[in-house]
Amino acid sequence: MRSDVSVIILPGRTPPVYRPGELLSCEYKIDIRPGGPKANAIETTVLWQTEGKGDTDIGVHFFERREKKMVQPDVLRQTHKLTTKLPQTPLSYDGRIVKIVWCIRVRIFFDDGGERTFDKAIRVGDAIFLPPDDPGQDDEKNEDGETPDEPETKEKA
Amino acid sequence: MQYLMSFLIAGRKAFSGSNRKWWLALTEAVLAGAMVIGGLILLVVFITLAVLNWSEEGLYISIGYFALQLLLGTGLIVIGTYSVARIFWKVAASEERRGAIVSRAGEIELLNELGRKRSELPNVPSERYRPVRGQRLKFRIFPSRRNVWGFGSSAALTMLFVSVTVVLVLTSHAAWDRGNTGLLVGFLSVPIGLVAIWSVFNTFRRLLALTGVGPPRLEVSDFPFFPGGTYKFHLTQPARVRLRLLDVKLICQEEATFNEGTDVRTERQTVFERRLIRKRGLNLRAGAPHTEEFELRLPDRSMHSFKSPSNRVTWKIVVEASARGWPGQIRNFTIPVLPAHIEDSVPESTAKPQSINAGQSLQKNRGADS
Repeated sequence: MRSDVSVIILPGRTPPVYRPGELLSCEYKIDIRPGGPKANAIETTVLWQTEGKGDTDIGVHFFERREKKMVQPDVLRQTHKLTTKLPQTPLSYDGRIVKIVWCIRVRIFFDDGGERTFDKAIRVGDAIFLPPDDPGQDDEKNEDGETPDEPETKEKA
Repeated sequence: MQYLMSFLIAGRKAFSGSNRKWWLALTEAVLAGAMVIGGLILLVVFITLAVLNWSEEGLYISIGYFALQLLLGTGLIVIGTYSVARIFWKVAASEERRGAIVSRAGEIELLNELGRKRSELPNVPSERYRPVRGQRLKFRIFPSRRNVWGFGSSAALTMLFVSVTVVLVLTSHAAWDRGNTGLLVGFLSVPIGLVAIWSVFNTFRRLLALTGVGPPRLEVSDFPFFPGGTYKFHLTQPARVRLRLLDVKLICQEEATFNEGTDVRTERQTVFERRLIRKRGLNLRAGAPHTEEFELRLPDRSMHSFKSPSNRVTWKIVVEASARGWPGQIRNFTIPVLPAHIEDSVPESTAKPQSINAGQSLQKNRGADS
């Protein structure tokens, strides 16, 4: 696992709960320490995905990809903004065997072929069966799509 | 006679009233079924005899006569199948479904504004059959299709077992004529013949079961549905038998499809259930269905209907009607629940059905039924 890369995603509010159709504004910072790998491209996505017993379905609402010349170290160090109007549906949902999770995802592709993904969960709407705890917690996945034991980036409301 | 028939078919005294049309249709169905089975038996007999009596000189009868025999058997099967299919279509496809299919071609698109609104709601499934104007309340919604595959597979099995039995009996008889006892074939024909008789009985019973309890009709005061909303319903449940139980529930069901090895499995779990009606011992007659009015309030902040390739959240009104000695009938009215926040943005005009054509087509359809 690469420990020389970190991403901080700051949703526009705390807790990160949005109404359907509302404008989502968020900022994110990417920090690649000196001597670390060089970024090749960065993808920023606002998406929902299903979790639970069924196969995972994904709905991409916003997608932006920045290629090499836009991901130079000096550019990366800046704060990046993301603004998009959220759709009316689907709402976040935490059912028994079907769950719908909205998140802001930043995926970094490196020169050596590796990649890292950083997720920031948000909530859209107020449908019931939602867990009482704050969903605003980052989950990081490694190249195999697994969540590491100690997430490097954490956001607390 | 009626009680004897119902006793034979259902095993118990299930009928509560006479109905001439019902018995005429039943007689027609029995005759059509008998024609199919008779034609099949004739065809199998003719072909088996031709094979058993085949000699170097050729057929034991003239080609023309053999062709006539084949034509007779095939003709009976074709006419019988057509008649069964016609009756079956009348009983298997509910009035609602036929009405929906008939009216679809010329139907003025209902709830146009809502349709446009729906396009702004990704992953909220559309209803399979659009609602039309109701007679008691504003809208009439349609149930899921009946499961007719059971009847189809039962009929196919019946034909197979009857054919095999006939072949075995003829082969055994031919062996006896040649001086062999044909015991093995004779013994084989007994259990297979019994299965054939049972499958004829079972097919007939399934056909009756499809017609015994009619499709429920459900009308609602408003459409579509929103969390926290209160809706009035009017249920009409026709039946020709005494209903042991009429149960109406609102359920919310989650459905997840997943791959397990090489299999694709689907798991369903009911996450919300509320009983709306439970009635026992309803004596019904044809033309005098049971009617019931009830009110339903959808839970606040409940999840909207959702559909993605492998996951689904569905709201349904489940109407279960069962009669003693008859297979129970469960019909689902899937109701589209939209997110509460768009309720205000749905124009009032969309709540008024433009059912001129749809209503007419249903009237026409009812006329065709009778």
